[in-house]
Amino acid sequence: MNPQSLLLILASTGVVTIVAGFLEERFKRRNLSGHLAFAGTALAFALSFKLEPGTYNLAPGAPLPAAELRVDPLSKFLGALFLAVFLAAIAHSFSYMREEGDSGYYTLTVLMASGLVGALFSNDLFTFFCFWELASVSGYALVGYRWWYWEPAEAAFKYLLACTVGALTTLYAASLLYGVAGTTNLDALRTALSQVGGSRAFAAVTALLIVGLGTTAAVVPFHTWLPDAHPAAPSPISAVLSGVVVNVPLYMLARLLLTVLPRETGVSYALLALGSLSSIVGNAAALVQLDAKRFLAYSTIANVGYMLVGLGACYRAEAAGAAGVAVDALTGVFVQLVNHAVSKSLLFLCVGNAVRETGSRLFTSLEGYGRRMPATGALSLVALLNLAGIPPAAGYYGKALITAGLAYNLQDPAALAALAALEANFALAAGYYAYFAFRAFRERGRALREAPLSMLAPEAALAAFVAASSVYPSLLVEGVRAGVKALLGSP
Amino acid sequence: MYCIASKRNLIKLVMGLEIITTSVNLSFMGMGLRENGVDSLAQMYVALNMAVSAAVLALALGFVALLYRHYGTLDASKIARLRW
Repeated sequence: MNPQSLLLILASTGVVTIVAGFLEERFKRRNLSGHLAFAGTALAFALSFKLEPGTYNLAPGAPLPAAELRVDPLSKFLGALFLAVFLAAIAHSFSYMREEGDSGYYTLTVLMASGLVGALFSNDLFTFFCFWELASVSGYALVGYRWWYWEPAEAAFKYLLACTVGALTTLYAASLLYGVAGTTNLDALRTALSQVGGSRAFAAVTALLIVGLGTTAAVVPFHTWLPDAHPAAPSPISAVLSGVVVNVPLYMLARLLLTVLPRETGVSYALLALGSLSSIVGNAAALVQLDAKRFLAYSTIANVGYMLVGLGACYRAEAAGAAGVAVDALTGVFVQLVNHAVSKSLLFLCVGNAVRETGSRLFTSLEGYGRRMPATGALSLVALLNLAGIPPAAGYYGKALITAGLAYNLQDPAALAALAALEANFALAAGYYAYFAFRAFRERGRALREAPLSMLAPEAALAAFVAASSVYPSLLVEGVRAGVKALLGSP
Repeated sequence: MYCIASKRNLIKLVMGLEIITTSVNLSFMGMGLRENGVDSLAQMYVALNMAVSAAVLALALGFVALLYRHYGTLDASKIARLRW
């Protein structure tokens, strides 16, 4: 199985849903396009387990220049995970978007999935950019999907402006690398750059990449689009934005910094500083939110911060020659990424149930939803426990591994400061997740009806993943560790 | 970049976006400059980037039109109900 076929399936599903949209109107058959989108994504999800590691050209018959895909164990795992999140979001949309969703909604969602999977597998900076823009353009349209309200329109424009500038900054860095090496292929860049050796110019390229990919991943000074885009989007799309979209640039950043670009001493400090800043600002801003989805959006920023700190720790350990610690730290980053992706999208979907019932996103009107909607409440609790990282939840292991990666060699005051900030943030975040749970289960609020089964089933599937990875954490951690070792090329 | 940071009119913001796209394209062209013309790889990058940016531009102008309908103004400082 090759990744091109996977992308082809997703893209043709997108086309099929457009056609299905016309049939829907003709035959008055609701959700036909949604069911087709679900089927296509499910097929892609099932086939993603059959992907064979290796490099592939996007057009095998007539090889295109600068269009290479690469599957390695880690990206294969992440690809399957991202498609699973998409599946849950699409299934959840059947009821959630019953009144508002039409075939265009599902077409955009499937195109976004294909763009993100393509960006994840791309082995070339320009291919990455093209797939990323496919995903982003669908994302802008989906955030602004309910254009008849003022909020989505404004949020989507903000999102478009910030993320396009971010993507173009990344592309500008790619053009500079192309100037040096004559290629944008990551493998070819690695060999070419290792011959050129480090110089000041690469510091500028690295900075551009961190800023560009950091903007799309919502790292703190460039995060302003995220807290607007997530609440304004329909809840299944918020789940996908938070669970998948911010993770793909992080993965790309990790790959570029750790395997392609020459080492710069300043980079680990930049990553630690930006990561600490993101987690502090994200958590602090989450505390004062009145809007539940905005609260979750800020906590996503904080989680991106944790991952960035882990990346910085990995970079630092590798520069110091401690390969084992570097593998630990990067494993922590990706375990955290997986846990955050699953549990945050689960929580967004659960809050979506309650929002649909109450018609408001404010905490004051959502209060007590856990009691009135027991199934939704129980599923939210699973997500909250995992996000807070309270053992035995699997979320604990990602945080523990990042901490372990950072705690290595604490002579450095910067690392010590980052560690202190990280631990304080973990505690703070666990505190406000507890507060969220407290408000959700308070004996207040009006009577609410439980969400329909078609909304609960995808949430239950995500919760089952969380539960399974908490019962057998070694499976998750060791699987990710094997992928990370293959990525870093360490034994 | 200056345009994005300083202008208030939404249309001018979109124009700033286009200027950045053009500068990236120019950078590719400059980097691909060879003795006998421009490297074919660079030409492909530029052509594809123009196509991508056209899609983004269309969507951006669509949102600008929507915002104008909601707010009756194109002043970015007045279209700022979303804070924090």
